[in-house]
Parts: sequence; C-alpha cells; structure tokens
Amino acid sequence: MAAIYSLYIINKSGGLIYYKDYGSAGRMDTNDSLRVASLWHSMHAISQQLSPVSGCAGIELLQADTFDLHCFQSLTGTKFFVVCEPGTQHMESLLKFIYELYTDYVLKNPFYEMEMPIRCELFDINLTQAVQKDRVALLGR
Amino acid sequence: MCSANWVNSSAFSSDLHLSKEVSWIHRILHAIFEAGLSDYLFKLLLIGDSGVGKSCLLLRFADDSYLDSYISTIGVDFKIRTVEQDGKTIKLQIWDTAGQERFRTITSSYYRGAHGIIVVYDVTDQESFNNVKQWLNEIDRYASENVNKLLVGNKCDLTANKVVSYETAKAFADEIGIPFMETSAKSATNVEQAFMAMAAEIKNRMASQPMNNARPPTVQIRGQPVNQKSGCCSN
Repeated sequence: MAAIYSLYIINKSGGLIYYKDYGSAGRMDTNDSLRVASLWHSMHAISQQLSPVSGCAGIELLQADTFDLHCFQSLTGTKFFVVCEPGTQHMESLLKFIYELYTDYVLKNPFYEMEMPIRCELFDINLTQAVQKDRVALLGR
Repeated sequence: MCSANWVNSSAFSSDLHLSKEVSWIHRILHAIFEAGLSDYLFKLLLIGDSGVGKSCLLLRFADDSYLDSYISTIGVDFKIRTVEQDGKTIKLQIWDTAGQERFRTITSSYYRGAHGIIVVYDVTDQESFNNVKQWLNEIDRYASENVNKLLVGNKCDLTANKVVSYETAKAFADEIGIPFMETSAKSATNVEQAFMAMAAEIKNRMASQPMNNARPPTVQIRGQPVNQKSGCCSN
C-alpha cells in the first residue's frame, strides 16, 4: 500500500481542527500545516465558484508531481483530506471510513465541542489502525 | 475520571421538561470542558485597507519580528499562536486578509465562523480611517451577529505624521460600541495587548453562552419526492 503523508480535518469555517502526519516525508510545523489547511479551504471555495457546471461541490482530487491530495466534504461542510503518494488507490473509501470514525468517536463524544480541535483518544486509536494496517480489502467495499 | 453521579440525580427520575434537563447536562459538561479537557480554537480576522499594517501586526504578534519592506498579501495568510488564559490553552488562528479590492472574491468564506474581527486603520492615513465604516458594513453583512470586534489604529510610532487623533477614533469607537486601541507593529506597542484583549473577550463570551445552543442551525437538508411513476416492477 502506497504511503499516506498526512491527514487534515478542517471545520466549516476553514480552521484546522485535526492534523496528523505519517512517516518522515512531508512533515511540517504548525504554521505550515495551518496554511495548507486553510488555503485548501479557500481553494475549495473558489473551485465551487469557478465551475462551469452548476452544482459543483468543490475539488475532490488535486494531483501534483510529488503528491496527490484527496478531499471529502461532509454535508455540514467539515472537510477531510489526505495527502499521499501519487497514484495511491482507495483514498475515497479511506476518507469515507475516517468520516465514519469521526461521527462515531468525535461527534458522539459528549465532551467534544463542535468546531473545536479534536482531542479524542478513541478517534486517535481507531484512526491509527485504519491508516496503518493494510485495510485495502476492507476499504475496497 | 469524571464522576458519573449525575446520571442518577433527581433531574432524570422526575418529570422535568426535556429541554431543562438538556441545558442542565450541558452546563455540567461545559463545566467539565472548562476544567481543561479540550483546547479552544478561535478564528480571528484582520481586515482593513491595503498597507495599514495588518500583516506586520500579525508578524509582530506571532513571531515577534518586524519587516520594513512592504509585501502585499495575496489573498489571505495564516498564523497560529497558542496562548494561555485562566489555565486554558487557546489556539488563536489569525487570518490575515488582503486589503486590496481585487482579492475580495471569496470574502464571505473568510468571515464565516470568525470569533473575532480586528479592523485596522493607519493613523497617518485619513482615508484608511474613513473606510473603517465600510469594513464594519462588511462585518455586518458576512460575519455572525455576536462576533467580537476591535478597532486598531496602527503605526502610532509615527507621531509626526499622525492625522487621525486618538480622541477622534476613540469617540467613533465609543459611538458604535467597540473597543479601541492604538498600536505600533514596529515598536511592538500594544500589539500583544490587542490580541490578548480579543482572546479574553471571546473566551468570556463563549463561557457565558450555553455551548452551541445560541447559534441557529446553518444547514438545511432538503429532500425531493422521488418520481415513482415508472417503476421497473409495474405490470
């Protein structure tokens, strides 16, 4: 399974509420990760306005020389995106799965306040498992 | 770690209204939350005319440095600084917007969800002070109603060139009921104070608000009846 570099979750106003990097490639400091996250929020908004076809929900995949960026936006506007090696497969289903983990372990946590940074242990544990174990079979559903 | 006694308390066994119970639970959860289980993330916005020193203010606050050269912000820039207030960790994410008109295409997405907005003008530039009214109109148009505002007159170290007096600006700020400060990003005057005052005010507002109840729901989920005239199983 090709490498995932990092995972971001941004709230509906473009604030970075969760950031995790995997491995040494593409490691960034707080300000840089924040810049990427919030710039992505802006770009996503611009792409919706630029679309020649109505009903565009924003960029889902950005392909660059050295990375791919896959984005999933929930109905409420929370955005999940992963930065990974070019050509990594099954990222859409991984993002959907992460979204499920978010609904289960973050939204159902009574101590979590909406739109604020995510610090939920169960979410971390399950996320680590989902990303690091070879879940291709599961994610291929 | 959090005691579960409240589950068995009388509020649950009696016939109280659900809403009352919920707000009661919220208050307890909020108290626990306040006790330090989570961070706060506040979105602050810097707005004002081009060249008044928004980026310099941010650079001073976030990195404690200063650049004499002028580089126009393209679109928007971001910085984060973590501060401690009453034992709580507060992450201030500051959105430094471009003052130039041509970058205003997606303005509404910047204002959205902002907790605090700092309107900056240049004390040596009358026009930038006159335009504060327009910026306040933008806030009314795009930002949420209860957003905290702060008026800042930057470049107060340039006393010789000053054209907007403290009294004029103060009177204006009082008239519209927002706090006012004069700062200098160059000499680091009042910069820390301006941002910290903002953070404290937002935190107080959040604490007095019962969690997120005060906000109206922002998502409308609409459905459409499914057209069932030509079912595949019909005759």
